[in-house]
Amino acid sequence: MQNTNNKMKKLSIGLLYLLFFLISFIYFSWIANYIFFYQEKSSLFLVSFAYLGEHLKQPGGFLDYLGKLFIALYYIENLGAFLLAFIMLLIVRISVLAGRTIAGSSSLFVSFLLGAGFVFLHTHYQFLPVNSLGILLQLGIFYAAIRLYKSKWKWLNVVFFPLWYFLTGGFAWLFLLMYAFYLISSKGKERWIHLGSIFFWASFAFYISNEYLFYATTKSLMQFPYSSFNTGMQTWEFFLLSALVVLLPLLYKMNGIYPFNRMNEIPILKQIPPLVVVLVLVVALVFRHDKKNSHYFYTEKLFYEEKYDELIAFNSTAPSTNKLTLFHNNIALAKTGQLTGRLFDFPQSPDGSTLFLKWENIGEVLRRGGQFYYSLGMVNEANRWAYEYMVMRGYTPEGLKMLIKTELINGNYKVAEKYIHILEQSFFYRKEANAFRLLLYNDVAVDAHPELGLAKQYRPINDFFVLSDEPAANIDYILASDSTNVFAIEYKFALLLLNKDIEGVVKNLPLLEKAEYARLPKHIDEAVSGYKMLRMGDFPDLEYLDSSKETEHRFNQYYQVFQQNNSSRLQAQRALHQNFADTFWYYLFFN
Amino acid sequence: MNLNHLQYLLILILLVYSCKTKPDANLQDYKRLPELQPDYADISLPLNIAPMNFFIVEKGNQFYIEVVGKKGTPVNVTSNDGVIRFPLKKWKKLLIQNKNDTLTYTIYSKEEGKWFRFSKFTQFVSPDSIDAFLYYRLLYPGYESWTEISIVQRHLESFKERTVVENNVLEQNCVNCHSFNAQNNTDFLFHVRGSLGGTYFQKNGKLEKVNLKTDEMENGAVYPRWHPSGRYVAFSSNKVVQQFHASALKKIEVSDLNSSLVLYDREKNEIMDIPVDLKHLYMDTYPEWSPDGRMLYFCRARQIEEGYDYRAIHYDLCRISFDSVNRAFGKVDTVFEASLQNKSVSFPRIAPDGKTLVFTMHDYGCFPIWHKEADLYAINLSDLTVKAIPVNSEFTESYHSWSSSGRWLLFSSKRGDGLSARPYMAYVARNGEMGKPFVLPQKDPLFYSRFIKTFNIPEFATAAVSFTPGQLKNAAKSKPVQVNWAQQ
Repeated sequence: MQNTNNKMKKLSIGLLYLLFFLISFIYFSWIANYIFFYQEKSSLFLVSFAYLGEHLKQPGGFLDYLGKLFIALYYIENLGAFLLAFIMLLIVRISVLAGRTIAGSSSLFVSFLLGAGFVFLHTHYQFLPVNSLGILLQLGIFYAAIRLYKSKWKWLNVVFFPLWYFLTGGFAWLFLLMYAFYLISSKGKERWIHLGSIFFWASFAFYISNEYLFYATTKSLMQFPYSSFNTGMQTWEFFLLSALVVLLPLLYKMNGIYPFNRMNEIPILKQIPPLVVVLVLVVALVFRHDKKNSHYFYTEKLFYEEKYDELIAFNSTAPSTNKLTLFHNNIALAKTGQLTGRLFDFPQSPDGSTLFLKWENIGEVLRRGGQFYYSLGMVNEANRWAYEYMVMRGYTPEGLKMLIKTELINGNYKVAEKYIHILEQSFFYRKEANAFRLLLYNDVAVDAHPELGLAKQYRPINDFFVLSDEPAANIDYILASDSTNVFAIEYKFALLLLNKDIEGVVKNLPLLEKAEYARLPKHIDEAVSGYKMLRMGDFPDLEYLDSSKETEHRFNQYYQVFQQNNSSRLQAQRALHQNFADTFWYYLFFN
Repeated sequence: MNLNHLQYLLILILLVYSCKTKPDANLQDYKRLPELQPDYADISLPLNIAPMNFFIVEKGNQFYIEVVGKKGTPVNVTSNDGVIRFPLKKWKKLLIQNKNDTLTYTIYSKEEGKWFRFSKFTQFVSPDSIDAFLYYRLLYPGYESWTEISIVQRHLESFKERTVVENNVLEQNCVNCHSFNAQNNTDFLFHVRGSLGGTYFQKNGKLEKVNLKTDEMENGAVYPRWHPSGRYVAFSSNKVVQQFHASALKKIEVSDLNSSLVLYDREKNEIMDIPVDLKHLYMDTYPEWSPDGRMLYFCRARQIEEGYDYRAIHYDLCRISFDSVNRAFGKVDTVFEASLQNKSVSFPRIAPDGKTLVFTMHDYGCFPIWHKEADLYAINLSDLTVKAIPVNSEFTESYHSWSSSGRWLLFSSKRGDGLSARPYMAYVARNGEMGKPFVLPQKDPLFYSRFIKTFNIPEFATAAVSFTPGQLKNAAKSKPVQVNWAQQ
């Protein structure tokens, strides 16, 4: 009977672990998989001794290295979900084992609470795995240390602490505190000598590191690789969980004290609290799901994969007001020749911030803003944005690819070769690196390349100083240099439309003929039709382009409905929304 | 197997190995020089330089290199991948044994089982040593942003590199403009910008933070040059603007909006205007003292006005006499009017014997590191004749400095990849003739083809300078010594 009870107990605990793992895995694999995309695109792990060496310049660098290795594997999202769920499971399991070693019986509730807490933190796209790896390693070393403490090798815990600090940096203090609490709650006089020794040795190691060994600030030596940014600014939540980790030895001790030990005698009581934790986690995860970011990162993924039609279709069916989403969407429209035809199918900012991003040398804008210049053929400026981001945040896959492409286009093959060599050291971008390598020292191949050749062709012929704070102003410089640059033309007209500058649109129509447009794009046609129908002014001499009869007819319809409802703007808007919401006229009057 | 058998086996293995790695008599001559990276053929070597490791950019699955001098044992190196690294001890011995003589290199490559021999080339082992230390700033050759910047000390007799200052310890503020007094480590300074900003002077082995900016100064002090006495440091005080080119041919343009010269008196802790432009008609920059300290050289352009064309800013080389005892200056004298040739002059640097001044000449402006056309020129200070020196390439040659003996000229060149500057050295013979320049040797000869950062402000020094992280932190935390403005 006792045997059957034990088997049942083990089975139920095993099922609990499995449930916890599956919930984490399924959530990260199917619902929050965008976090893998974001994090994988935010750093680039390199398989080289030099890269490892760079990470051994500072305490905690090794842990940072492991964290980046982990992130590199996020390239395969299901693998990322599996690894992350497995790390969470290990956190639970090792803390259970540590509890068993301390109190003689396992404390599932606290351990699952800890694991669930980290799963919850990981749902924030900026919470990096280095944090949970750091915690896991401290739990692991703590478990090993308390086992060692009961043997004749216990002084190894003290001796090797500086090495542990070097490897795991600021996270090692968590181990030190856990171990201190463990010693305080243990018995025997020797524990005080042990405690004093490890604190003295740790202080000495830190003093030497700070004064003589490592060129880093004291703050950085204390906490690296922890940073508030790397937790997605979930500082307090992370602090609370870290406090829970530190206090584990005391909590486990309490587990063996009355009345907690009474719970252990009744198996059912023991299984219910962790099960409740897991169920609460499920509810929390449902509420935690970040739809906005999920949408944004999916569009960005399509953008990097150059699936522009798919991106536009996705944004059509799932509209977004996120400026970065719309920025990418507008580039996709320009790349597919639809910017001035479908601009108002999507929400737009009248200040042009959905068309181009103003220079900022920090954050996410810097990472993405160069794409506009690249589309326009302003290769130098695209290179600058990518380069500045690289300097600030290190290599990223897309940033490095942009550096390679722009250097290839500019014929700086030796510089491009250096970047290609770096990309070749990545796990998952070697194929692309090989493709780039084939273009080295080969102008003909670059010219013939569908993407690079086009960008090279559109590079400004005449030099000018780029105005990063006024992206729109660069368009005129580009057109002054090459009036057939269709991307510049599309952006020029898009901006005129956004600025509701109908006269400007009409005045610049000859540009479209020069660039051999077969007909007026939809929104330009709408602006021109209105201009003509309302006789707003002179019309430039055009050889073949003119507004279409169909658009003129639609304008009449629009104008009629508008006139019928001219007593109330709101009423007019309602009346026109169904048939004209995606037109320039609607934007003109109601935006 | 007894001991005798083992000996025979070892000999056999050695024989097989030697057959594999050494060329036999049956070889074919290529009758051309091998392509080397870096190119170290036909150069003059400093007597005390580290091994000149190189990579053989030729086909082959085995390489054998023989370096022979007239004296001593030849040095042989084998390689399967073309990477040639010379053993330090043997290298040093070979150089000392062949002082003032030549080393002859023979390179063999093995392809499809057959050995080939390239034409021989030589290196001249100069009797002149080079200063043992080279200091430079390592940073990304970027635009506006920075994260990691370090001032590094490289021991030129080996490959040892040591951090002098790293900005990670200074809250990632920008670290720049390190300066020695004539390659002497007793007088050394560097600037830090931002939250821990100030000019850090080394004084008796300790660091002292000084705030050189006073209310009377419009801009901060940059481009320091020590007076030989160590009492004074001349600076330029500039306001600059940085702009970015759209064209593929150029990247960045840095221009002065205004600039003037100031003098810091270490003894009196005073800073003052150097009276070269009382009417504010000019922009004066890049000070440089003559070795006797009696003349201050600098670059001068007309003060720009609104709507200026950056391509029309041309700097001439000027000088003014200086009485160091009375802290008094004489009258300005123009040494070289580059503007007459629609050119511009930067970084005047005078040889320790005071006879030659080397400067950078470029099309316009005062920031030649981003000017592909920038080249080094020398002016004979006795007759003021100017000539290009034979170290230039089609890429940027810019910041340069002299060794303490005046026998070696160090300069930055972007000839490697067009983007990152590398430190090159060239021998300067007693008759003024210059040898073929060579890039600073590295342990890994492929280092430069992979390294992204740029070597900025390379300077020779005869002795070591370095600071512990603790020293840097303490100096950074300390309250800066405020200098006083001295009225003329």
